[in-house]
Amino acid sequence: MKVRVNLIREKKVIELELKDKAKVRDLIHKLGYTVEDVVVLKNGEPLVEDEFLEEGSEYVIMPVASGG
Amino acid sequence: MVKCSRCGKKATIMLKYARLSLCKEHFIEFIENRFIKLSMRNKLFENVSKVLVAVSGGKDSVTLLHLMSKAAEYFGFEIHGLTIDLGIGRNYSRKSIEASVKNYEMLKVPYTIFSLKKHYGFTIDDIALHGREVGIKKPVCSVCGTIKRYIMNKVALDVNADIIVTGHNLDDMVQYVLSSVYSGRIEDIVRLGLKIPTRDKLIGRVKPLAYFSEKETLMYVLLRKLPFNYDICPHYRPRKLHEEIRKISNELEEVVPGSKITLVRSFLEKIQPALEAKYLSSAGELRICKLCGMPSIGEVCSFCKIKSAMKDIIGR
Repeated sequence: MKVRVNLIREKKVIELELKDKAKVRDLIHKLGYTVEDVVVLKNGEPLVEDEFLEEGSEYVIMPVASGG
Repeated sequence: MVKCSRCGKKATIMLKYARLSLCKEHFIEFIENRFIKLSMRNKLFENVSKVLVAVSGGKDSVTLLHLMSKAAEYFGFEIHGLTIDLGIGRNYSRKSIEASVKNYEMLKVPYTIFSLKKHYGFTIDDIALHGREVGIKKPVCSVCGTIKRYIMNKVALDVNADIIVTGHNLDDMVQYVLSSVYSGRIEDIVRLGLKIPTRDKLIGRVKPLAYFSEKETLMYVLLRKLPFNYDICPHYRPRKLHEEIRKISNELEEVVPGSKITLVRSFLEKIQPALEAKYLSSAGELRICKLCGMPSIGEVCSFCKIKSAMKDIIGR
């Protein structure tokens, strides 16, 4: 399945190919993060890591670390 | 669909360490109740009538301000906000102050905006640009920390606050604990307590968010739609050891939920007190800075040293 990923810190949108019936957790891991590292939002609402992704949807990745 | 453990609505966060999935309303309630419970359990605000809340405008301090406002009502003390205008460019300080003020006004909390430039004639940007040429060898983040601690103490004395609270979170604590163990600097470990009592004119410090992860503070501000500055300070340079500790502790947390809290709790409740009892004397006797009269380890305090070094830059 394919999803659009909005990397908010990097200010860029990419397309990602994931296995079928992938969950939010799979997307987080594919990007090299852990569940604790990021908040994933869809239409402005945070999603839990066990939620299934939807084909063609856009997910916003918000790293929690603020640095400093 | 993952359901809220409390009401069955769609969950917005899973808190594995507490074995809970929560919807927006129940997450906010959980955080606010946990803050009060942990404050009571750790006796954070005993015999306190006024608290200075240090607010940078980032997610942690904005969460802290809102939780402290609830705690003030619950325990019956006053709070006063402090935001320092550090004069950091690329709109960083401007955004920080704007977010802080919006939150103070929303909560009707009295506050002070303390401008480094107005009071002392220089900014953090000036230090980043000219620090080395005037003999300031420490990294800008470390100098900024010294300046902030000095101003927090000064304002706490001005407004008669009994303690200062800061927004250090669980992830900061994990990094401090592990990096201090790596370095073996006992004096740093001794200073890492959840609450550091007042010593003469050095006002006590408390870290009420020490058991709240930064994912929780970010979720709190997002779900409550609170204004906050999400930008990273332009002077921030990640330290390799700290970055790796963050990565590894979060990887461990995913496999062993609660491991970050366990580490920090064991440290704060067992290791730190044992070391403090043995090594407190190594923290050094407090003297009075001969230039400004504030508490100091040496004859002249670290802040006055920075101020003197920056004298030639002022007015350039």
